[in-house]
Amino acid sequence: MFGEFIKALRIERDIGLREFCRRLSIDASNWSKIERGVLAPPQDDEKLEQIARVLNIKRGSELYMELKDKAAVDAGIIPKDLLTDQETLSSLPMFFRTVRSEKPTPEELNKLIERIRGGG
Amino acid sequence: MEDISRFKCPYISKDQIWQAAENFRDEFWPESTLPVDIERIVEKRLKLNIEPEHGLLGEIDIDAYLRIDSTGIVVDYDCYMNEKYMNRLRFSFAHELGHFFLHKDIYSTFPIDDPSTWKDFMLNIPDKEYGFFEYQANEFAGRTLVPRGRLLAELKICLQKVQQEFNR
Repeated sequence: MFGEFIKALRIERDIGLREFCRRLSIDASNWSKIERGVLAPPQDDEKLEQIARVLNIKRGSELYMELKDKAAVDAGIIPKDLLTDQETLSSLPMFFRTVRSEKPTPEELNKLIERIRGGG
Repeated sequence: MEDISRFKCPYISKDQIWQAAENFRDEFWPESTLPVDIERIVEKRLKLNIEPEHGLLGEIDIDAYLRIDSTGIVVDYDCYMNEKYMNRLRFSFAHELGHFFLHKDIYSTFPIDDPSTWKDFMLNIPDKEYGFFEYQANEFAGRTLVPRGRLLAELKICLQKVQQEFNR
């Protein structure tokens, strides 16, 4: 909800994920998870105000209130410790682009499955 | 389960791949300016997520991949954030879009329903056939990022300059 809302505003304003995260000094990996609803959004006013500034949303405006409301609603998102088989499968690669342009080894595949299953 | 070791990558001719790249650019990059803003196409026009992940390259030797559910492209965090890798990353995005447009339906032909069968599939696809998938995605990426007509025009200008130098 919050994530989709912010992502739509960010894209509407032509701000790429990298640039957005740089401007806010936040980790792009975590932010991508927030936009996908995997992690809860920040709750502190200062960070939410920074986000609003980057998105050119005026403090006190209707959009600003909506941003704060949506952040509050999504505060309860708890990242899963372990994904189900189906969730893990949908996050796995269709194909790989590896540095050496070869198929990955069984160890690399196991590592990847475990990372995805455990990391969300 | 079907015998994966006998699996064949569907044949797509070079011309078909090149045409697919041209069609892709016409549809999703009508501005025709260079360089093609591939990340903008990914996020804004195709509505795919960009998912930077820490340690993908360092720990598993992967630059980037298209998720099976086709909702996003996962990229190595350091490659994504570091300007030094920008060109390689642009190619990676275009390569994954090659899989998106050329190979999206491959998985539906196999009953892959959990990570274990996915792993079997990956390990048992013949190397040669896997190489064809990669080759096709590479061709798509190259032609997407470097339009042949524009490249030839630039080469012609360069050749004329070289000739002028020699004729002085």
